[in-house]
Amino acid sequence: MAGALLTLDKVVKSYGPVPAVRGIDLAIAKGEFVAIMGPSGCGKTTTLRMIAGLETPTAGEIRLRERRMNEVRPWERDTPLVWQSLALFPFLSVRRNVEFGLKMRGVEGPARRQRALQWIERLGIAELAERSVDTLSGGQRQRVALARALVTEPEILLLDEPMSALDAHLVVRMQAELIRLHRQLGITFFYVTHNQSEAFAMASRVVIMNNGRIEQVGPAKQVYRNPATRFVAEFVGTNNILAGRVERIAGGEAAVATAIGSFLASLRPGQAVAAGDRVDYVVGADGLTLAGEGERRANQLSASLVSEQFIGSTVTLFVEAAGGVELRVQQPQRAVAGLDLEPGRPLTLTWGAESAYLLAANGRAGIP
Amino acid sequence: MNRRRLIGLLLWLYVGAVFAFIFAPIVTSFVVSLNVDRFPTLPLGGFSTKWYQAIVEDPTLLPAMRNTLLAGVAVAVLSTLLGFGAAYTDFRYHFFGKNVYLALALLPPTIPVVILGLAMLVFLSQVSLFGKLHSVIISHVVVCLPFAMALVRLRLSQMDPSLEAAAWNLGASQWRALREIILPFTLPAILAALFITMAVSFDEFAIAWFVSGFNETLPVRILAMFQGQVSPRINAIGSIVFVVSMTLVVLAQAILVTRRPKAAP
Amino acid sequence: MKRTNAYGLVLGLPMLVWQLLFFAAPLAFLVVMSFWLVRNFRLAPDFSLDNWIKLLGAGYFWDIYLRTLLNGLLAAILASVLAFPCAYALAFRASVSLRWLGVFLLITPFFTSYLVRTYTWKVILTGNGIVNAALGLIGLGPFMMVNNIFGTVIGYLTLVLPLVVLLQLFSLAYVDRTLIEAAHNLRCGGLRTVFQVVIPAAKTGLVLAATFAFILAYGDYVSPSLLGGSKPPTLSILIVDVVKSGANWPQASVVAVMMAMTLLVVSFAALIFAYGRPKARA
Repeated sequence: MAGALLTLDKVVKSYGPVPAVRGIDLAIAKGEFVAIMGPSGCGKTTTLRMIAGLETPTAGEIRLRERRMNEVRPWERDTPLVWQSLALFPFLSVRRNVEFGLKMRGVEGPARRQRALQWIERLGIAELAERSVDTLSGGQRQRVALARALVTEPEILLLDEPMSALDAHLVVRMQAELIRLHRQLGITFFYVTHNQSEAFAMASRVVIMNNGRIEQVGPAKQVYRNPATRFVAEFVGTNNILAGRVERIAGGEAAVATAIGSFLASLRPGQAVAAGDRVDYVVGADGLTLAGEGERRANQLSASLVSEQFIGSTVTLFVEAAGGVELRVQQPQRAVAGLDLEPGRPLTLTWGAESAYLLAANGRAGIP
Repeated sequence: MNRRRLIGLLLWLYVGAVFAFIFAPIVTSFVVSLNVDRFPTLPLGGFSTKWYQAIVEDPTLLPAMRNTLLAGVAVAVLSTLLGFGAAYTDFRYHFFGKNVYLALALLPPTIPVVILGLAMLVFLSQVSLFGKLHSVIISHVVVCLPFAMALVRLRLSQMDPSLEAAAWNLGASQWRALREIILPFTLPAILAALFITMAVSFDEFAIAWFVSGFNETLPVRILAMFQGQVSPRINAIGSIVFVVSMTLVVLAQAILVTRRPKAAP
Repeated sequence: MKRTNAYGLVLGLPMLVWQLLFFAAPLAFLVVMSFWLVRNFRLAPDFSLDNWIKLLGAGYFWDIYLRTLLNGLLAAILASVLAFPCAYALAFRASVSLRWLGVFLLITPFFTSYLVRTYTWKVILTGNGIVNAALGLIGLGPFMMVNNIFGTVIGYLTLVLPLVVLLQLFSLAYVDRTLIEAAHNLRCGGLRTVFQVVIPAAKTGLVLAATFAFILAYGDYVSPSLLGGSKPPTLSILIVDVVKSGANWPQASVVAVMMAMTLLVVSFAALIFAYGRPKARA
């Protein structure tokens, strides 16, 4: 990407013989809200720390506006971080915490104070300015951390799982707050998390990492709907994945034989599979519906109900098909209201070919 | 329930007996120092402060007192400086031989003072550092810095490890972060270390006896006085040493416990 | 961030240099010194085994050596046993504030002069001191309580008891309470629980406390000399005498090295015992 704000070029980080990041390439433009997601140990936090200068890449280059940053010390960069533990200075008041970055840059007392107070007010905690930080609630502390990071008006803001210590209802509020801030400030947000819903709620682009490598990068919706690899399909959303073999291809659809039956899936544009190929057949849990009388779509399967789980307005049904294969079905609550959901109840699942897709057996989508 | 109560009662009586044993010489020393008799026996004699007066007027004790104080201050400052550096190094860095590094810092209290004293005596004479007050200072720092290090290290372990990195991230260089973040946070431990190392040095007599030659410290003077007869002056000195040491310790405790973060500009 | 640079060295090196110079070197030098000789009242660097042979061949040395070892063991065992009920009460039967009060009271003696305390015991326990006078009032005694092993032991306890109670207290306080509840739940009575559950669970701390008591008593000079009348003498008294009476430092060094080696062996064995895995019972 030309004119990218932040570029990671074949970046590798190893701790002795142990590789944490195995070579990643990423370009981030000004003003993007990018979320990096992945399981613990996938290297996302290490990547963040390298951008902040807290770790040095073993190989590869990190560039901020075309300037090589590998050797630049953390305190010479302008990449403020909102820490997982928030890392507020416990012996300083809110205002002094926020002022800190300005103080380090040599801004004089009165100017410092004024700017800090502006940001404190902007984040809605004006009345807490002189309070000691240990008297604040979780949500308030978060705002202080944000103000402290933003007061120096950086081009990029780094966030390391900042919501992990917040109560669930606060998380939603903070998400809205972050989206609002991002829109107002127009700066780049680089957000690390292991929580999918956070990432997909806020980010315009999503990066999925696993085991030190980037599995997929793209707009949030696209990654959700079109996982490029098996890992992403397993990690993002709730997908049912069946191993199978392509029987035949016709009219942009493939018929795949799996352990529990033969099903149709749409081929994605440019996807190259041939009859006889081993593939993974993927259908999202929200793509499966419970068939009413006479209602039949391209694909059909008999299963029995094992259990159900209600989360908010969605219900997840755990069903078992022939041979003990377990599948998950996600539907809005009203779709199953009135149904008698007792364990063992036989169900018929049905879905269209367009709800399913294929991944090549090596985990890749086979799209050139 | 009755049986448990009875056992409880016996246990607490026992605890009382143990504390009575521990404090008997301390309390008695006070009493003896204020007793008019030279030799305490029952029934106790009347109240008198003559022993305190005697030590204040004793010409040999004043220099010893001065030496003890000077040494104490020097030891406190040096031990705390070295101990702080060692504690920070342990906190932040990993390196080859770190175990040896830590052992050097923490082992001295496990070596009997007689052995240490002899070793110091022998070594310092070979390098012409023997027999002066700085011999006592050098030796005491060796023995006191483990305390300073332990206190500061303990405090550092209570710190969010990201705090220092957060300071760097916001533009503070390593030295600046040390000054702005680490020092304020560890200040209670530093003050406690100053006081406690001073108290330890104040009371240390064995090594001081070996190395101080003619520049005796107060405890060494006491040891010399033992060669003489029974004298409540010793108890008077002991009481003063106790009051001074306890004051230092209580001050250290007070600072550690009650220090509140700055909440106002 | 692990870039070592001037910053890290400035902070970390001073302690290292100081301790190498003034702690490790003197101790190492002590070993070297044990091979030197004294000729014409002057130190002569040498590599001679004379001092070693002379000392280790002397019957009186081994008497003193054994006596010191026994003293240390006696102090360690006695202090551990006497301290335990007190530590137990503070750990299990006291409220939190009472426990903190206990800890504070136990730390206090560390800041009194051990010298003055032993001196005071001497004054209290001598023939016509307070204790004998009090006993005399009810027709008992007088008992000889100083210048013998009894006095020495009182001195050792004065030295180590507060520390042993504290260390035992801390290790008992960390014993998982649910273990005890489980034992009671399985109908294990109070005292039996103490011996079969509590003590094994706190084993490490209890052994460490005893080890510290041993180390302190083993190396102590004041109690055996002041309260024990130097009869029988200990290794520490031997060192002090040698130094006082003519500065035959090489000989004193031999004694010191023997002491140090003994302590190393005992501490090592104690650590293995403290941290070893308990044998599973059939």
